[in-house]
Amino acid sequence: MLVLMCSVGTDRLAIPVQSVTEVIPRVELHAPLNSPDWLAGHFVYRGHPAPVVVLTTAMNQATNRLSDRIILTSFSINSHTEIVGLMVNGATTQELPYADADAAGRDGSMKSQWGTILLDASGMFHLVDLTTILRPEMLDILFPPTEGREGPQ
Amino acid sequence: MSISSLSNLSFRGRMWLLLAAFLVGYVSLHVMNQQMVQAVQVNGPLYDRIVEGKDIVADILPPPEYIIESYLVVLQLVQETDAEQRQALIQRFQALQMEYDVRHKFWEETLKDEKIRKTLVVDSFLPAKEFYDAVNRTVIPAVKEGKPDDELLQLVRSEVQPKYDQHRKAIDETVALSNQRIKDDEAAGKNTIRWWFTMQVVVGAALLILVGSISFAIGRGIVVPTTLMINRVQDMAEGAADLTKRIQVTSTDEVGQLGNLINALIQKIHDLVVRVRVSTIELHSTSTEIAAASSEQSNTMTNFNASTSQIAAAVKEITASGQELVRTMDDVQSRATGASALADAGRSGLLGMEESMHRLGDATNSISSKLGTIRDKASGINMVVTTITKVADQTNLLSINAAIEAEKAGESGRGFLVVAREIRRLADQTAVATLDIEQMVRHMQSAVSAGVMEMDKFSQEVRMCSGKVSEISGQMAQVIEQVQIVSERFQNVNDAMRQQSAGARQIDEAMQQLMTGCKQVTSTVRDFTAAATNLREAAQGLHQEVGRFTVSG
Repeated sequence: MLVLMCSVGTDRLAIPVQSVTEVIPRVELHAPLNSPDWLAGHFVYRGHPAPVVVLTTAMNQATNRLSDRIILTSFSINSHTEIVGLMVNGATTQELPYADADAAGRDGSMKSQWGTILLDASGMFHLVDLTTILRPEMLDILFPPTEGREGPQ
Repeated sequence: MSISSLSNLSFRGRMWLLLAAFLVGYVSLHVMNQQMVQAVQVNGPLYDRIVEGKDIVADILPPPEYIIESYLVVLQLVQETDAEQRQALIQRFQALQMEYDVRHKFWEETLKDEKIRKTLVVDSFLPAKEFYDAVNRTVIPAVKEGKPDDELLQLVRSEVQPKYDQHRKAIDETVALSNQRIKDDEAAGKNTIRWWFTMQVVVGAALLILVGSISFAIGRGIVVPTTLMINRVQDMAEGAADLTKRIQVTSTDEVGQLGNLINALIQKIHDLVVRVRVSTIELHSTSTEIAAASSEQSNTMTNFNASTSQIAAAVKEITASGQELVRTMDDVQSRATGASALADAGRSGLLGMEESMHRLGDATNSISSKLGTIRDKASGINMVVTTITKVADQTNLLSINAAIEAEKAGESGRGFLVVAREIRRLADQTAVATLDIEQMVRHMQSAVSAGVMEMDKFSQEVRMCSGKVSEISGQMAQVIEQVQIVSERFQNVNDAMRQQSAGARQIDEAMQQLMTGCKQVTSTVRDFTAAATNLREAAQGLHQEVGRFTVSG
């Protein structure tokens, strides 16, 4: 399975490419007033405003580097397809020796708040599901619900 | 004793005189007082005369407060037969009654003694009152009716006589009490006089002691310090040498002030002597110095005489040396001219060197500007490297997105996935190569900066050299000028030397005159030395005179 390997602070994250719409460089973001800590801001993606979420932990202070990337994923909300960005650092593709995420989940014995903990030549990383990171209550704040909602496409 | 004879007495004598006067006055006053008391005291002559007079009156006159006369009139009335006489006796009786009432009222108001008052005013009065009432009620009406004498007498005996007897008893008691009181009063009077006499003697003795001690204290307070002062001043008058002794002043009165003033006077004399002593010492040392200086001057004059002779000889030698110096100066002048020519040649060489320096500076500046151009170019390369880095980053992103799309396409995208991976590898290599270029350009830039700095330093040194060469050239010019001036001065010196030679002869003549003057001065100095010695001896004598005084400090 092909994953997008990136890092947030000192953690390395592996995101399955099936859930990724596109990877773009860091762009200028407009943060709304009184927004929550995890919301970095909005930018215009192909004619529509898209929110960008930043993962903050105790170790992870928000940085501003040339190698920052925004991973875009899409949700079907209120019968619209909405794009949500995730701010990471140094994204690159990597082939994992598993058929899919379930197989990897069975192989990895340890779980973290991000997902399953796995190992490779560079060390430890978390195989994560974007629905785990972008929690429903975050989406409720970003897109106030009027109808039903589906998972990532 | 007059005032003038008083001032001849000493203070102690005056005090004794005052005490004696007081004693005489007091004793005479006491004796006079005693005489007066003797004259007027109780049982004294005057008192006896007054009492005698009172006794005579009391013995002769019938007492109004004692009703014996009234009783006699009643008895007379009883025996009288003539009507007219009876009427007169009744009137007499009534007058006596009125008189008794008046006296009784008087005694009632004035008498203070309780015992006598009771016997006289109460015990004797009540029977007297009843007596008068009985006479008026019974006897007088019976007489007027013309009753017989026996009946009247009977009436008097029964009604009147008992009252009279009662009254008489009370009066006797009163008299006894009064006599006792007089005796007591006389004894009290004697006691009073004796007590006051004793008091006078005691108070007089105490006063005498008090006045005597105060006089003694005052006399002592004046006499003792005055004696001290007189002794001290007498010492001073007889020429006592010790000026440090002072009178001890213990009081602040006039005597104390006088003592303080005498002390201040002695202090003034003391200060004066101290100053005179210091001045004497200075005078002595100064005269000694003068004597020494004058004898030294005398020696100096002798030396001066010898020196003058030597100088005269030396002047002759100077004249000869001057001639030789003139010849030497001519030689020096010709050599100075040669030095001037050599300095000129050196200066033209320096000018050529300065020009070369200027050319070197220009070349350095040109190299510096070329190095600046190289630095600008390196900056251009930096910009290109940044652009390449950005392109490589974009290519990397593109390859990632392509790989994602290929993975999503599944099996049909496999081939494309390989291409995308290859593109990413190329992009990574580009990034690494760019990093190398960037590093090389940075090295080059630092090398060029170091070169520019070195060139600047070199250029500055060249400028400094050029400045120094100019300075040396200027100094050479000054040397040439000075040598030329010196050459002229040598000529002047030559002329002056000739004039000096003539002047030396004149000096020789002047020296002869000076030697004559010196001899005269020497004799004068000798006289002065003798005068200074006399002065020193006089100062010595003054110092011994002043030294007799003892002073502090």
